[in-house]
Amino acid sequence: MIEITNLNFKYGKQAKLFNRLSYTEQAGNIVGLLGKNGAGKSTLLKLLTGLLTAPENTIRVLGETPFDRNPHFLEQVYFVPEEYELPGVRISEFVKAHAQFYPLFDLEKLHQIMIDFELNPKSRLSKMSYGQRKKFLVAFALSTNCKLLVLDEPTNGLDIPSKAIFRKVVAGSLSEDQLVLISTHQVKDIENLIDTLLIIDKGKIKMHSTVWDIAGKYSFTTVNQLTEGEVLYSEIAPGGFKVMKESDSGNTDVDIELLFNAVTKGLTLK
Amino acid sequence: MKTNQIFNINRFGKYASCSFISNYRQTLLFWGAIWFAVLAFSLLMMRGVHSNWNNEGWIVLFLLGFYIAGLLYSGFAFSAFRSKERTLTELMIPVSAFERLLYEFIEKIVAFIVLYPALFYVASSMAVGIRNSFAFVTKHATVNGITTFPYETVSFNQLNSNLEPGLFGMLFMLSVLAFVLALAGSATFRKLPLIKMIVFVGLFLLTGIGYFYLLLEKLKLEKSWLTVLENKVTALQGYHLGTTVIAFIGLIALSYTYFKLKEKEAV
Repeated sequence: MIEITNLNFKYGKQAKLFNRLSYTEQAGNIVGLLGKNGAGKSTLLKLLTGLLTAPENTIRVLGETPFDRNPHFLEQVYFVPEEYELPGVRISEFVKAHAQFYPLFDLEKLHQIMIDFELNPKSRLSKMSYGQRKKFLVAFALSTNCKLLVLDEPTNGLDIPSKAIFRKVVAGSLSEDQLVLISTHQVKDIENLIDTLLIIDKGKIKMHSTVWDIAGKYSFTTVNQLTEGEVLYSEIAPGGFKVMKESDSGNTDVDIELLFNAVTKGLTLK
Repeated sequence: MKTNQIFNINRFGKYASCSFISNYRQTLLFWGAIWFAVLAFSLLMMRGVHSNWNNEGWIVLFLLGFYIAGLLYSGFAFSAFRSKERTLTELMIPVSAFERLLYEFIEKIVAFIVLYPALFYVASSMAVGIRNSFAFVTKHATVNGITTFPYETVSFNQLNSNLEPGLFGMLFMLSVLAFVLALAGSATFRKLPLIKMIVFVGLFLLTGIGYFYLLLEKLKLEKSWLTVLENKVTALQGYHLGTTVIAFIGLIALSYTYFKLKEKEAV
């Protein structure tokens, strides 16, 4: 579904943001896109959705060049940006205006997700809080049933119960032919949701692997004392140390935060 | 089914309804403001019974309002592009650049040219009705040497009647060009598009005026291309030529707007 080949990109005269970046992704996954501030996560999402122009023949999404912005392409892609401005209309008016563009739009699904998120369809978007508007946009995005859903910091501004509902509705709303790309700094919010991890750092992809693979190869635990040899990476934590080791006893939960720090601090994984 | 990616009437209809639902409050507010401004100005101008307001008076008010309101309206086209966040949302709507441009052209220029005279007629007629009923004037009369007369509603026949043949068409095309340039500015500049476009066009016109001044006044070139052209064509032909040139410039401006939309990024 996504094919990036040797992508070089920079803004104006600034230093290169991406340097010969290559990446492919198939449908049926929920991908967590992680990176430090300024690593280019939002830029990568904009390039994939055709909001920024990329050098010719470096990006193909759903078989098309995103920046051509063909309506047929845009009907299959929905982007929830981190910062947004919505018209001052009621939710029902927004749905009436925008749902018609998406051939697979499911109104019932929207109503169900809005009930889950405790949103009132009669509310005016301009009167809603940032978090409520974010919830509505996520609900709308999921209801479009677009093949590619791009969510940039979707849990920013969501209260604690809503974050759990977010994980539930995303996991429960997708089909096998969809791909969801979630860029976030709030790794805990998506820890049990994503099945693929993509870490970018200094213009390169530092890691692209499924959570299953990582869980099979590495274990993440907290220990009182560090022992020499077997620890790949460690961090001081309350009660001792959080450590990442090669797996010796089956699967453990992946500590994405620890893994991210390990990878961005130079640990090379097999 | 993959539809035409440049223009599809169903998609265009969806975009028109989407834009209308999202922006109808601002549109109504604009037209309400125009109606109020015409009514208020008309009443203000008709306040004295001695003034000879009928005829040319209406036309001056009509044309002034037409240019000012038209430039303001078309200068605020593509309103989503005024903010970074709305630009992003707007660009993700599944429509082509051509459909987006066509919609704004119809809404901001064609609809304005059609609706403004109608609204002007309604608002000015209301002003006439109000003034005549308050002044209790029903016919021309001279009392104690003071002539009073009822005000008449605007007659658009005057727009064309006092002009040389062909001139009205050229002036009309010129006003369309002014609106198209404002539209192009709104697709090009994020902040203060109308002001920036007026400055740009102003500089361009000043350069042109400077060129002709140099040609005719300073260099005294009696055989310049302008003089040769002036001697070879009649006034009517000149107006037709002018109309064609203006329409051509308008098409170039629209093409430029199209490419600006096509290459728009959400940086």
